Amino acid sequence: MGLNHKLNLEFKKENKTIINKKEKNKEESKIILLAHASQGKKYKIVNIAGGHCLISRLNAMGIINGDIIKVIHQTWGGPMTIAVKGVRIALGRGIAHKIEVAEVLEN
Amino acid sequence: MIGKIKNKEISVALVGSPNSGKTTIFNNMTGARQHVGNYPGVTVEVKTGTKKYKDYIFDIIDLPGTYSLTAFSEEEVITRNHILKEKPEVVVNIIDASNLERNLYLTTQLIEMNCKMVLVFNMSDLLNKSGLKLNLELLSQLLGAPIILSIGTKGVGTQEILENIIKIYNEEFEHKFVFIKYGDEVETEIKKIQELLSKFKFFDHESLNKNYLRWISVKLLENDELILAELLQNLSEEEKEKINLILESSVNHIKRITGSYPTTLIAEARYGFVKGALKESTIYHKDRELSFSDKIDQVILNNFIGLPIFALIMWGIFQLVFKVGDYPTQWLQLGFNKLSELFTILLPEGYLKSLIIDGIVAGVGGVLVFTPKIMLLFICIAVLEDSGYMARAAFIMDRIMHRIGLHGKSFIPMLIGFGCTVPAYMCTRTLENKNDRLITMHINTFMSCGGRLPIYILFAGTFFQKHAGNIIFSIYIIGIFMAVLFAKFLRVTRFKGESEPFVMELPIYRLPTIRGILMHMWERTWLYIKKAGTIILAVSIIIWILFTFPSINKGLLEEYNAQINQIEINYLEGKISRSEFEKQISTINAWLSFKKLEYSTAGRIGHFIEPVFKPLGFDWRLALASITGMVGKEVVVSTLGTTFSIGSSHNEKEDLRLALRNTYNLLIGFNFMLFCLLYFPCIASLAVFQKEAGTKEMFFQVGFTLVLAWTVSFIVYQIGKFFI
Repeated sequence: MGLNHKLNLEFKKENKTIINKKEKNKEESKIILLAHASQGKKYKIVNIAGGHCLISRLNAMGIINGDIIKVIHQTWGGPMTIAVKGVRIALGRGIAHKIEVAEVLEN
Repeated sequence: MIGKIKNKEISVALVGSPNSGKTTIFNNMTGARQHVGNYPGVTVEVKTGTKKYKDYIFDIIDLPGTYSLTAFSEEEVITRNHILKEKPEVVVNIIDASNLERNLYLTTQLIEMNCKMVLVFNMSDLLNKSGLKLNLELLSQLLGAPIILSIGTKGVGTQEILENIIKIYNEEFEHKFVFIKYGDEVETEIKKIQELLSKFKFFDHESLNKNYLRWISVKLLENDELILAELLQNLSEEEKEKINLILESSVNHIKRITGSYPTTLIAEARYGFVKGALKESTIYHKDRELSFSDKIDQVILNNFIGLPIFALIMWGIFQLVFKVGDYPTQWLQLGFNKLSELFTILLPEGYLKSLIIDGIVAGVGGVLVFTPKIMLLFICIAVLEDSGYMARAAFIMDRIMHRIGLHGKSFIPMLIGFGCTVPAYMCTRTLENKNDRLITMHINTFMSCGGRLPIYILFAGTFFQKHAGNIIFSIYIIGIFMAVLFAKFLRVTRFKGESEPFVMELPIYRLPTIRGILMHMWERTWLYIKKAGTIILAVSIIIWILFTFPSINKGLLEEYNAQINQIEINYLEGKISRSEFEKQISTINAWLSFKKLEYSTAGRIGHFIEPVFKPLGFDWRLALASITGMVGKEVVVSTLGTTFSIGSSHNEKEDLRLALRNTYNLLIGFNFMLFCLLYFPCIASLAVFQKEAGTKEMFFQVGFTLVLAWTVSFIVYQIGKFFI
């Protein structure tokens, strides 16, 4: 159990840094909807405004609060693709309007 | 005793995300010894297979690909229930090594279920390329299961998987329960629920694992309705009330403290666990930026040229199927003609000869000659699927599909519908929303399936010769147009409401392997051939019977013989010339055939229903073909084959095309293709429809496609008449 215990500690630490970063980001960039994000930029997911079912599905696909995503492809009014956890995921407009993100400013 | 030790059987289940290469691994493990079938009770397709290795027999089931084990889609439920209820002795979890973090999410859920597992990191060549180096031994310890590196497409690692399954089966690998913690707030509530559950009578037996109770508690907190419903069934009223009460208070409590649903917290903890485990065992990691796949996507998903590229690919496929596929089709046709000639020589005159030549060879052969084209079509679809383009097609089509009230995902079953409607219906299961699914199923009939292809090839080839390819393409386009129209129509009339949100993984582009493509193609082509060998064989025989009996009465036959004799005498006496003689003989033969047909059951049915089809320009033969076409569209061609080969005289067996050209005109030919496009594909598809969507929807499908087909054909013929 030693290793697992260490893992769980690691996870807690990670969580704390996420919270810290959350607060930091609030000062640095404002929260927008993913639908309005621009191509090529990185964002942190702040909130998913949806029901149980939607959140659960997005989570299973790797889209989860606190994660950094990159907008790979943005279309006008059509679907978009994002990179998350090394995977490319296509998202419809509807969903992109339900995900709140904050831009990650790179140094 | 006759010596041999009995082989030990091990039940194995393959679990993995879509695009993880699960099927390839399955194929590597089982080879040809596999069987595609429906999972008992439901219609999700699963493959099973066996493998003999050393002293063991592996019973392997390839469970449907899922991202998680919640209860939001049928695939997830089946996978979960199989593990829970069938209790496979070893679970093999196939993981896409090029994106471990996301794939291991599913693994955490298998860990929660305390499965005995073998973890297969597939496509491990990509792992090295991605710039990640892992301490696999450590990772294996953290996840509590052996890890095997494999490259499915090259067959690397298959033996190690089998070896490790045996090891786990023999308990050589120490299995320990890996505990995933969900954070203090959630853990407290889990304990509360677990405690309550353990007091219930239903859980009051010794064999029960404590981990199982924990698992149920987690699922209940995750708002898993299926688990809850199953649980409530086994509880008394008082217990039910208790559990509902505690769940409500737990969820509210967690939400109040953390501001999130327990679902989110639990998912976050799972990803946290994965992240931690990966971080712990990473030796070095280098970020990769724009990958090759992204570069391709910049072009293929481009706002301007994405759609034209897609259209071009579709057009290319049609050209390939129809132009290149024409050669082997002709060879097959030649083969069947020779076979027919052979039987003509070998068999004595009589009903048996007629049955074999006019019934079976003409009927089944008429369908089988199209196999090469259908194979080519399935190869193209397999290439699109395996290369990863299919998902991009969904992306490109999403914007258009959105306009008609569906989303891009609905496009994939429709694309598969070009091959065969039956798997297309099954594929609609990826749509979680019921209305989306029903609309997609209802309009799928307008996607011209492989069975309709023979009709188009025959009629377009007959009436449009050089332009056949373009005419067939136009029929497909009309089908798509109809689908769009009716999707919209159904959305505003019968299936109101928003469409389901569109989320879909775009897998990395991969070079498809020849083996994979051939296997995919063969699975589907075999269904077609099997259909020809069973349903269509049976229908061909029935049709032949309908066409042959009742046979004409003796009086007519005597009259025929008398007239033949008279003509022969006239010729011998020199009253008529040679050419006059032949002309008279063929006239009298045609007269007899016509009488025979008129007399037969089929002729009577055809004439009886002819008035219904008359306004469409169809005579009784096309009417009859439309009716038999309900069994399967392939039968249309074979029915026409039988009609014309019996209808004309035996001696000078006319080519079907020539016969059609002499009997109908261009407008009727086109109109008939249109009619066949619009009404439901076949009985088999209706059976699946009924199973998937219920009897009411099936009858709606039958009614609305028949009415539509008739109406459209009526309009086209009545207007077209003035121009041709």
